[in-house]
Amino acid sequence: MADKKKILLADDEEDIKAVITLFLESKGYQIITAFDGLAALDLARSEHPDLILLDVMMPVVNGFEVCTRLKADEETRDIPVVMLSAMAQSESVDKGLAAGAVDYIVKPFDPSRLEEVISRILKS
Amino acid sequence: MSGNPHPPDPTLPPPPGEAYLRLINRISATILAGGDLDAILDRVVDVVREVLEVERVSIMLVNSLTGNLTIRAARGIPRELWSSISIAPGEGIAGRVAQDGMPLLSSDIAKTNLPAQGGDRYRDNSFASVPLMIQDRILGVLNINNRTEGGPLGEADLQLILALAALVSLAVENADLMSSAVTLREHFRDVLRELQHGVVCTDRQASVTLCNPVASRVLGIAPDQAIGRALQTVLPPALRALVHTMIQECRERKAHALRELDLPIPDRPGESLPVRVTLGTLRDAAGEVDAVVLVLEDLTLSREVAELRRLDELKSNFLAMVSHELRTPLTSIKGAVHLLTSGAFENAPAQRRDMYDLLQKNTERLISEINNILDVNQLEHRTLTIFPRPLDLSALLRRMGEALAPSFQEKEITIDFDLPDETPLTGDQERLSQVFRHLLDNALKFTPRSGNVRVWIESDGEGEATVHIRDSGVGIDEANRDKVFAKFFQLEHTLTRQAGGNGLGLYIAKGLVELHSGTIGFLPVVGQGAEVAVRLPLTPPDAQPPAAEPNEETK
Repeated sequence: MADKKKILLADDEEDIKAVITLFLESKGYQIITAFDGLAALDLARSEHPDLILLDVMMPVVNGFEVCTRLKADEETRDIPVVMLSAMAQSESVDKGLAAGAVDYIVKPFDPSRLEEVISRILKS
Repeated sequence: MSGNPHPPDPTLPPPPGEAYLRLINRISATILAGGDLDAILDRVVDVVREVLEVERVSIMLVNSLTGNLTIRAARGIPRELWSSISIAPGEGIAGRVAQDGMPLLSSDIAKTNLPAQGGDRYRDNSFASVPLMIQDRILGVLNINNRTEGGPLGEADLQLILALAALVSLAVENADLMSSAVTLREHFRDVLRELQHGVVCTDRQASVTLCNPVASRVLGIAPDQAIGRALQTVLPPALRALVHTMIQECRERKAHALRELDLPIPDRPGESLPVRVTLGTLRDAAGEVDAVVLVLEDLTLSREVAELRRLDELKSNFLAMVSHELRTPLTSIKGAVHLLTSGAFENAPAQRRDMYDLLQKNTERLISEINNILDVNQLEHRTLTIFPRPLDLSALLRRMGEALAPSFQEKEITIDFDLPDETPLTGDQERLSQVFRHLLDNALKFTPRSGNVRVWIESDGEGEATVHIRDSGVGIDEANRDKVFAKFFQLEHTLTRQAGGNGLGLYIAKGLVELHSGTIGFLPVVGQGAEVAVRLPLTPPDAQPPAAEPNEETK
């Protein structure tokens, strides 16, 4: 698989990052990770991932803000963003979608469901 | 009086005779004698009948609801009939007069094509029916029928009757105005009495002209004692200078002045009422300040409502945050279990080992989070109990340092302990460990790689020991130094995570330290980093559980 899809995963929880990375790598994706919002913005610009998984509560710049900035930037506007957050209230979901995310997955989630969402988005 | 039965020349009214002037005089006197409108009109119809020597006199007024004419005073018509008579505008003679606003006179009723007033009941020879008007507004009709002596009513009589009608109109109008003024005043008084705000008004000389019950209660003065006194003497000391300033402000800015303050409650020393004071001035036509209106609003209820709303919101935030903090380790657990059960690490024992470690760590985190929630709940209900026993604080801190050493090494952070050999103290070993573990965890989290953390004990030799933990991390803004001890301080302020942690730790630490009769706080720091100080009495004054001295700040 020389043509692996590249996914940027931004989350400040090391364990969550480790588990999702292992899981998605086992499904044939290439994963790059960011610890905070600012790093996520930098990597999105420099690495041009095919998809971005964004946590909300992150240091420096929160996920909603990261998403808004990605959508405002010509270079990163077209990269689909999926929010991945333990903030389960409907207002948070609305906020994420309003910021331009294509989907909002509430933690904890079934990894298979995450994979379904990713492959659906990358196929379309 | 004119005995002329024939139509007079309308262009030449005869000069008023002495008898007419006397009549007008009498009517004026009758009206001016006062009393309510019914009494006045009753006297009027009496005088008119007597002087004009007529059989019937009636004053009909327009009913403001129906628009019909009804009898308000009469002579020669039995009183029991009055209520049955109601004449629509345009109907009959009186109705026509009321509609057109023009008098009708007939000296020989048989020659008119009008129906006789009262139908067949009366055999009239003549009548005069004149409108009661103020400007163009019809108030009613004055009817005079059937002269008994001196021949039928003629044109000369009409002039006199019109003059009478003008006087009666004034009396009616006056009574109307009076009654609206009375109604308005009563309405105003009722409104002021029922109003939940205190209202005090003054006249131009700043004497109180009005003080409603709420104002009287708030100011602690009986309403009748307030009226007529200078405003400043009626106000409690706490308001005097303030109201003076507000009046000045109002005059200068020509706008309301508004203040909120806690007003001491009269007769209840030490208690106070939150009050919003609004002061306005009324101006006369020249723009001069004419009067002062002071409105006192009791803010107790609105403050309580606002406080309840705030607490409700805090509770929602708390639940959202708890949910977030439980979901986070569960996410790792769920992911790890999925990986382990899907056989992804069938041939990778090292990775499998890592996953078990991760499961272990996140399970611990979940348990710790649940314990934190229980601790918060117990602190809030003041049911958390400590079990103080003699212990060595130095040893406790050293053990803690050893336990955390690997985490500090991982981040290449040096941690130095500068402790006395022994710091004997009476306290709850478990709970104090919990406090310092959290503080050291924080120091670790907030200090960047290769930083340093120092821990030392300061003892004043007077029964207290103070533990200082200083890190070289991001530090805390001065404005937030106290707020960080609130529940979930982080989330309340921003979605941007400042560091890991659940936001309950410092809140619990504060509660636990206070249960030991100690204090905890962040100190001002020169240079980078944060310094937290935990002051503990070597022997708590009351080594018993907390109920005795509940801490005020654990809300």
